[in-house]
Amino acid sequence: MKWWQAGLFLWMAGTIGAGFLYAPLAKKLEEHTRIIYFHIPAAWVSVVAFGVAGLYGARYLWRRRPLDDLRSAAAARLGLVFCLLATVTGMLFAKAMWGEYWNWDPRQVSIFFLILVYGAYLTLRAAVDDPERRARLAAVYALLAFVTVPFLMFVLPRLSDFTLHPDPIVNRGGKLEMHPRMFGTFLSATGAFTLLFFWMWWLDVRAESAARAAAERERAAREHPQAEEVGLERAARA
Amino acid sequence: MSGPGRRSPLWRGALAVWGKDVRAEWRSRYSVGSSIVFAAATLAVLTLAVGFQARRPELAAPLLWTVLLFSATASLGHGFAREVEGGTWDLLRQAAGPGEVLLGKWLAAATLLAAIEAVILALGAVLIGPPVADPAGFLAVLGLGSLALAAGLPLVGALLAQARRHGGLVAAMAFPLLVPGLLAAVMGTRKALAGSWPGDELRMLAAFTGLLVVAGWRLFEFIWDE
Repeated sequence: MKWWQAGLFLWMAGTIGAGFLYAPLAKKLEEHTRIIYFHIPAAWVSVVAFGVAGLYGARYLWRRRPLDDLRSAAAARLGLVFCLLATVTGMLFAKAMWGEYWNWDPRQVSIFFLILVYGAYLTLRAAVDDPERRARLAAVYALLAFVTVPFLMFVLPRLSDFTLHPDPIVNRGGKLEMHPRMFGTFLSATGAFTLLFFWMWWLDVRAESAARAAAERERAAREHPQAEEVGLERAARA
Repeated sequence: MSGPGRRSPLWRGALAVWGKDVRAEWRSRYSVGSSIVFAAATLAVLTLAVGFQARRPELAAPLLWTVLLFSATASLGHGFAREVEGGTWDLLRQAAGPGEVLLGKWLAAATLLAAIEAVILALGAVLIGPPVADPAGFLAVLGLGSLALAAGLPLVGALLAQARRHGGLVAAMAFPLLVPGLLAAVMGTRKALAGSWPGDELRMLAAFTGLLVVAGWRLFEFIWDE
């Protein structure tokens, strides 16, 4: 284990501990306050991930390097995972606070549509066979999809007159109304989740690169079996 | 894409593409015909299900945009796919640049959508007849929402024209991408029908449509590029 991986483990463990032992409870939310330290960072990371997917989509269109496509796709996949986590934790909170898992609250609707947007991105990737074309079209879609993210995450929920959802961290009046210890724990959780995302993303990109390289070697071996045998003999001699 | 210095050729090319699409539609009446049948059937089924409740703004607004979205998807989302199926995609690529093609397709989509909307609104007025308390607000939301549909659907259609089994995917891909605009349009229409000015919704619709147009304009050359 590398030093920063051990550091992330301690950071995450410390944040979970702080959520239960250090941060005070919010009025009205009581014990349900703890979910703030997991639900909001998961939603935040999904926005970061979709931003990374768009950024690497743009880089692919600019430089046409397959690795950028791979990075964009991995970020979109993980963004979808964190988006689902935010949805599930939000549903648990909704059940505990409002008595139902799903209330069609504007924020629930927004995140539901965000899942559809990136689900459609993965569908597009599955529908195009040619790798170059798939990468190009997926990059365009990732950029178009990112146009919807600020509207779905930040604008639409604030446009609706009716919501049961608690005020966001920075409320409609632009004020931060959170106890300093809660805010510290929240920032720590957000940082830990963000770092966790980048680690998972890096692993996903490495795994996908290795899988692609293996598939490429297999294809080359099928097309040129002699070359493979020569390669094996050389490897045996070495 | 053509820069500002080539404005005239860009518009000439775009108008040529627009004229070709509108003439093709006029000859076959495929898109408008299928959309109108779809809209009439949906309106009839929904009004039969909810009766006079459909006149209430909170039902009339989503009803209008649901019918509009799916009618528009059935017609505007398949323009590029028809170029591929008809074998005219490559000819179009040789005859015009990406800017001309996109602008022409957008203009054609807006024209077809206006025709479809005229029929849907007439049908809605006859079958449901919801009172419109703020006609100016209603028309403003309808106009901006339609621009979002006319800008977004051809883009998704162009993306999917190069995919296999593209037919069934257009609605699945277009709906999530257009949803911020659609939600703002539904909320704005509801307000306008109820009699209040949908200022916030119009601002959001304008911002979303503007971003979609700018992003689509910048990105289309990558869809067009093979």
